[in-house]
Amino acid sequence: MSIMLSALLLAQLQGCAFDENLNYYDLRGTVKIPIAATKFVQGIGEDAITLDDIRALGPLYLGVYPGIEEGLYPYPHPSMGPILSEGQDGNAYPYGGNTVGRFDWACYQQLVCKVSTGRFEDYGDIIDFFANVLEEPLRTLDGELVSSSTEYQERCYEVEYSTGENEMLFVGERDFRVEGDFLVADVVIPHIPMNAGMKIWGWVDMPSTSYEFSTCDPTVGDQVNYYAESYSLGTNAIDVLNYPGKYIDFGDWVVQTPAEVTDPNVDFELVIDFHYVEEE
Amino acid sequence: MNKSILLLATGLTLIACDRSGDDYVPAADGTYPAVIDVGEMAVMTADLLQELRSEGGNARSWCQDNLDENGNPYCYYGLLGQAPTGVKGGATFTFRGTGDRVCIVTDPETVFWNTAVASINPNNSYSYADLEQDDGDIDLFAGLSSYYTGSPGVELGDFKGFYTDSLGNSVAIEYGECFQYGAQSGMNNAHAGRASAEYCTINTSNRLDKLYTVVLESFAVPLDDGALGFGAVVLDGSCGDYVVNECTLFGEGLEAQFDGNDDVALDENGEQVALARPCTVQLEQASCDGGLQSFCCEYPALCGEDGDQTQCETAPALPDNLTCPSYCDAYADMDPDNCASE
Repeated sequence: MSIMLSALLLAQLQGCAFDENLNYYDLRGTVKIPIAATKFVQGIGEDAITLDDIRALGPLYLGVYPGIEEGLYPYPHPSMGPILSEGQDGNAYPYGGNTVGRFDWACYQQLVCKVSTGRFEDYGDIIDFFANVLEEPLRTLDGELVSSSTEYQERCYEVEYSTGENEMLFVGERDFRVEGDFLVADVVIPHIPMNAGMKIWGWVDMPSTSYEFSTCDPTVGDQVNYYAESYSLGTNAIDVLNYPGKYIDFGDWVVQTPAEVTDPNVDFELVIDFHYVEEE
Repeated sequence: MNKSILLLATGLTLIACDRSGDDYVPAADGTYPAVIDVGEMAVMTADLLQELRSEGGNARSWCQDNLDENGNPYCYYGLLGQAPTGVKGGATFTFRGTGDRVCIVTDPETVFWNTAVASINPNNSYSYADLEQDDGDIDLFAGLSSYYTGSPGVELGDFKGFYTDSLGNSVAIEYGECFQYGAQSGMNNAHAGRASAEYCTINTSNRLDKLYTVVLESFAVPLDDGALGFGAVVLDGSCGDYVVNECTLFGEGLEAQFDGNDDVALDENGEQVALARPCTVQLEQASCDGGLQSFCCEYPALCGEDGDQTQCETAPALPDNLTCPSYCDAYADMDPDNCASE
């Protein structure tokens, strides 16, 4: 009897080693952004000022494409399929992608589409950034100043019906670490069909001069309905990787030299080194 | 004893397997064509649509008699039969781009509703049962004819194409342009259910005179006669400029006329001779006016056999515009109680 049981267990364990021979891989690697990318402009004309803060980086979008071309836009851009609708580019048909950081609602309406995950260490970090960097202090819907981390945390637990800090994804460890002249993040792009020669490419969505992000739509996403509060929490457009040119705007940082994938088991390194700025 | 019960249970189980579901699909006996091509149709203005609607049950003959300067009809009413297993049935027609938006509308027969069964505050408009056997379903697709893969009148196709990227991967692309939006967010390629009109707006700007193909795929053929009546038009302007519902196209509940050989009679143009079934126009109007309960109580042969008659004692009186004087001429055998005194 015990021999049979052992044989059964062994057979089950062998099942775990079954190779389905799927041509899908998790691509692993690092992305590097020049430290200079933390500079961004706020205001226009004579009122424009240049600020410098890593917390202003929006999501970093990464896509895996069949090819990247010059000449479609002022920056390298994925090859596009046929144009099917008037006024809209062809679909880039990515094989997959991922982001480093994503938009997350940080409990106050003022912060819809303005906070990315992996940028702020704690509640105080957010209060500090909006009060002392952007000089637009965080306020409640009634206009009351939010000045303490405890008050902020309480508000989040209440409005999110939260039971633990692990649910507050917009605060915690930062995605990027400083290595020399670069900000570096580890990244995994999951479940990519292997096509030898495919290119990894991407960009960082930087804030506009009025601190808005082109990839986030404040009118969509989940909805908060909490006493007198009723509004959308915002989220990124669903086709950012299909039509990157629709969303890349002045101030964004774009990959100039994509990483070519020839062996999916070899880590890639991608440098986001082209600053797309308006020509003077 | 246990063995006998087990054998009996096994036998019963095997009998349960002897069920094919054929009863839910009409026979593909060729009485009606499963695939038809209507040819080119003209784009209809809002004024002409009003004229068509005022014809009520004579809509089909109006469509046959009114042609544009090129001899193309402004609308089409026809009958489709059940396609054999594994074959898509339906109708196709073409129209030319106007350089602006157009609205494609099709309405399969006749009227369908779910019976309201709530015991508290029931929706009385729908408390009488529907006659499901007379309802069909058509799914609407359309796009540039150059992308259409079917053979008109022979085989239905679609508007799917393929793009091969620079690494040799093939990506399926939908070239169809007729998108209908569902009730739920994200449903941007939906189709209406049984007997409901389907419609979509196509922008033909920069495509003046370019040929478009419309595909009316027969999703379900009515069980009562194995013939799916339908009407179709292409309207000038966006669908938002019109009220599209069961009453946009009247008289699609068609009934074929048969010759002495029990074949469907054909007119001089080879078209099937068919007339709107008596009282179906009033049934459609009742659906739009919220008067189904009154209508069904008055004319039960046009509604579900299992309709709850007790509600008829308190049902509102039938408005004059929904009365159907020819009811007993057509349905006396199905409703002898109400028609006996006449």
